[in-house]
Amino acid sequence: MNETVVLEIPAKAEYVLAARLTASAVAQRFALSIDDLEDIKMAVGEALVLMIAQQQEAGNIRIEYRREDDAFTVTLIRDAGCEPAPRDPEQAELSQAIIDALMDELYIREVSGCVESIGFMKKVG
Amino acid sequence: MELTERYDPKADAWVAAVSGEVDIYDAPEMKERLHKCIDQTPADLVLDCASLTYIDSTGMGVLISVLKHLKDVGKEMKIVHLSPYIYKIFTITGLQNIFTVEVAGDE
Repeated sequence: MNETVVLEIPAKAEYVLAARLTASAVAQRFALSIDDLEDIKMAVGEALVLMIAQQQEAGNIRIEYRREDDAFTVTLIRDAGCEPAPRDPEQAELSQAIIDALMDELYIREVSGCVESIGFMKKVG
Repeated sequence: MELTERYDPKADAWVAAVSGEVDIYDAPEMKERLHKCIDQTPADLVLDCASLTYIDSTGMGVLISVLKHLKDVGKEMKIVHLSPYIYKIFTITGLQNIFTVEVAGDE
């Protein structure tokens, strides 16, 4: 099974809920366990904290939720560059630590202080 | 997110109940309201999380800032009825070491 659901949201705090709800709905459709579902929802929220908390210019963020045979992957890509705003390094560390702990793989692509994309994967049964 | 806060004069403590989901959008309001309570009447704070279903790192940051504020005025904070899943996130981030926490079902 390889299926992808795509959501694009404005890079604004008020739309993070929509991305979490979509993660939840998609994970449910793929029959993931409640714990896996909660972990993915949490990781999506934290990835968006990393991307939104640090920018001044609002663009869009494209989020791809993908179910493969033995994994669930999420990729978040900014559609344009951003003007990095001052950010709390402790906050960013907290977000990254949470995703790291809940997911099996994580990458964060940052260019000139701007998080351009984040991807993570969770192995599922 | 829904937040209710009331001062209990008998206990000399604030009792706040937060429900729903606290994320990067709601966290600033929660921060402002809880700090305002402490400024208004410096007292211990009991945060009831029985109906809290989600909190992200920005919400956790608010809890840390409120705890620091309380410590500055010589007061304490206790988190009660926290869901086991959110407690799991607390343990990932080490927050269980800095907060007094009662997990739902354990008390």
